[in-house]
Amino acid sequence: MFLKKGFYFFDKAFQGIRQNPFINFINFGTITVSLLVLGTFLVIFFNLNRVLDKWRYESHVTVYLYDSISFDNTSDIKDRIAGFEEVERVTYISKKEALNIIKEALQIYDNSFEGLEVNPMPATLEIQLKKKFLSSTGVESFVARIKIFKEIKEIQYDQEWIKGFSAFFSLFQIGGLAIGVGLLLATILIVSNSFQLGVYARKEELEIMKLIGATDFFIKVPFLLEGVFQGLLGALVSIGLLYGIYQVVIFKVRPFFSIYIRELDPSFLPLDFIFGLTIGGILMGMLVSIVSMRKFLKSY
Amino acid sequence: MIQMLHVHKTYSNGQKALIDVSLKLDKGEFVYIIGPCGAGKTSILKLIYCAQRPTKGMVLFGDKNVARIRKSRIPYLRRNIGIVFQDFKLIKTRTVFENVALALEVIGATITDIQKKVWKTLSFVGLYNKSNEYPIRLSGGEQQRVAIARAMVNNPLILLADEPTGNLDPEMTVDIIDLLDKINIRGTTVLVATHNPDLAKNKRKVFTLEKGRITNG
Repeated sequence: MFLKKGFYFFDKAFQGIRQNPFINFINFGTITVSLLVLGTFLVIFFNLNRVLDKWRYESHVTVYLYDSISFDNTSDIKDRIAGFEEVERVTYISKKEALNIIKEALQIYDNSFEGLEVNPMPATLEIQLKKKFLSSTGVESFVARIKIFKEIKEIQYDQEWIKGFSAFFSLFQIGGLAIGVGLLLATILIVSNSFQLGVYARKEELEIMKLIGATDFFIKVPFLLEGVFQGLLGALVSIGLLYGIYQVVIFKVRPFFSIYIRELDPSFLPLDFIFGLTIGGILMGMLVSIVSMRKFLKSY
Repeated sequence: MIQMLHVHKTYSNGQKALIDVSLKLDKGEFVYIIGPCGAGKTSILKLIYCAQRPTKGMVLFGDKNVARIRKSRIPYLRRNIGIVFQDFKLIKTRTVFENVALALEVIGATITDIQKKVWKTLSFVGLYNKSNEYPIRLSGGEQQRVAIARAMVNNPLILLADEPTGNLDPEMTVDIIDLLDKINIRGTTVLVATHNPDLAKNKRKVFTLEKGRITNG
């Protein structure tokens, strides 16, 4: 019985689409374009978020020690810093190791170190903080607490510019969200208007159905399925188009920004985002048909 | 079966459609409401099938006051009522068979049931051979027969006909009235609203309506 009814409703929904192909195409097109724009925002948002996370998790606090402190003192301060709850790991880099690192990094200028009588590099402690303390306030509070150690000459951490980037990213998020919501509302308004044209084209039929005892549910379901179908198709096509555009853009810009692209390691939307976009399309179609039918059934 | 008790209906523009109307229809009766255009005939029918609510008074269907019925219950009430209109109200994109079947589809009847009942009803109204035709290809009388078939395919308790012969020539009018008589003989209560007093000649129960008031009965 349930299956038969389901089949009946699907049949009526497709009949409705066949009866008004133009209106259905307009609705599908509007949903597709709207989800494509939204999807573009999501791709940018997703990749910026990845970059920010990467930078944030790779960032660490570098502590430069005074040359005068003894090896025992160095071990002592290392242990004390390692004792902080924020600290994941502390790595000691001696003056000699620091020089070797710099030599290795700048090997083309190898000769420039030959004349040195004294090693100018300070011993350092590379401090990796636990993930949950990697927010800018977390790092700043940690730095403020270790500053009091007299063995420390200087502290460097790359949170300042991450903080700046985070602020920009938040702005982008808010802007993107506002545009996204505005876009969705505009789409629902546009599509529900053209959807209503489809409903009104069948006004007489629906009016008769009401007069012979059809419930609102019975009248609504085929339209709801029509909306779901438009939304689903719009979402799938927009995801396909988005993927195509993404591939073309990456392919075209790769030669010019190869270093950055490798560093940024861009990626298309993950499955949960794609799933979300698809569900979003379906919900949009449903909402449109609910809004349109509500208006129609209210007047009859 | 149906009773209206001191019913008043005033529209939002202040126009009084019905003034203190009281009437009673018993099961199996054939009743006419006659009156000129604008007398309030359609308003009475609309109050019975709940397309409108009275401003004052009670409309009883059995022992239920449908003037206070919940909106969600109206479709279930209408399944007990067959309605026939002057302009037939057939769906142009559906065949005769499909138009009649719609009344069974909306109540969730099975395909076998629909097939059986629709064929039986089309035979009864004499349109067995026209089942695949579209309404546009039928005469006015035939279209009204389709509308009557759709109204009675559910075996309703009552059949309401609002000017069922208004668009028909005299010969077809007789045909339709004969058909309504046949339906009544099978046990369905029939209520016909018409402006034509000739149709109600020799009928036992006739209500005359003028300017929203019943002037006889």
